[in-house]
Amino acid sequence: MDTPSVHSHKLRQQYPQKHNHYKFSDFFQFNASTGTIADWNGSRNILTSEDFIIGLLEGLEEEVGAASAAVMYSIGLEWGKQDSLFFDQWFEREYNISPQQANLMFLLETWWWPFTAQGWGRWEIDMADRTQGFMFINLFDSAVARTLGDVGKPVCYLYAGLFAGFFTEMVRKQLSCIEIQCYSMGETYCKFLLGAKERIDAAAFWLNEGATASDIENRLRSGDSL
Amino acid sequence: MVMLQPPSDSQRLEIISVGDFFRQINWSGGTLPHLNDDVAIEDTPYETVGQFFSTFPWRGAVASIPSEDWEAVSDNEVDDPMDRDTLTLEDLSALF
Repeated sequence: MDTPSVHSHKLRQQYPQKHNHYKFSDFFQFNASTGTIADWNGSRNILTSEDFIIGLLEGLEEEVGAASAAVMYSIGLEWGKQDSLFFDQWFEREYNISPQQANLMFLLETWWWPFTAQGWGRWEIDMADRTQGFMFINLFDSAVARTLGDVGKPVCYLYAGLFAGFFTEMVRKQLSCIEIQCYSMGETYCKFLLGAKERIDAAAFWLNEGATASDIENRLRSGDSL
Repeated sequence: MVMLQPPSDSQRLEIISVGDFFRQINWSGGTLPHLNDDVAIEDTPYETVGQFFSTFPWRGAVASIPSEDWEAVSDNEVDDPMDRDTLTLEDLSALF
């Protein structure tokens, strides 16, 4: 988990212009005296087990039932919004260029690398449909889905919220996100759809009706709506 | 692994191990005085990483390669991902 803090990273202070710093021993700084872990950007990190993730999700489901999905999405949404502000700062500090001026793909890859280093999985952005107002994000090794295993339904609501929150802040438009394919449904990787709320609502409806990710992609590309 | 040798002498195919394959890359682009004895310098014809990859049969063509395809590519000519796509956040914002 990522919480901005004042913890500084000694290696970063020593090599402020080093960009290939995502090796485990470089990215994390273990402070034995205080029992804390800070990453390259000064965020406080904690290590958790798969039991923690299962406990978090199952405990939440026991408390609020089906609303746990919405709760996890909301947590992710707020996290993404906060992280975009944090990212704004460290990106500009590291590259001496504002995120608004940077090359988009470079910017997005730079945003996700710390997540990869932290164990949230690798991603791939599919912008082929961007001119139609939506895009896909493929996520490999989702920490949530990998932990829960094949449960026959999408489980990465936290990620969907994270993407929605981050992109909403970065592009300054209200965006939503939905997971249309999940490792926990027996697929090989997770796939998220990002776009305006109406589109995501339509995709959610089709998904509920039994549509596959491929069906949803085709319907979106052909301009279908609710 | 099947690797194509440069055509200066011949266009023969040679089966080598992955380790040997990667040892043949002159990663630094400089002279290689520290090569292991088991790697023959005369079989290390790639002066740059770009040149090395320009010889790779990306499309699975392994029979013969036209000689013009062997033209060396310098590292500077390798496509830079940062230049490949000039989109910015503002461009993305305009699409939603």
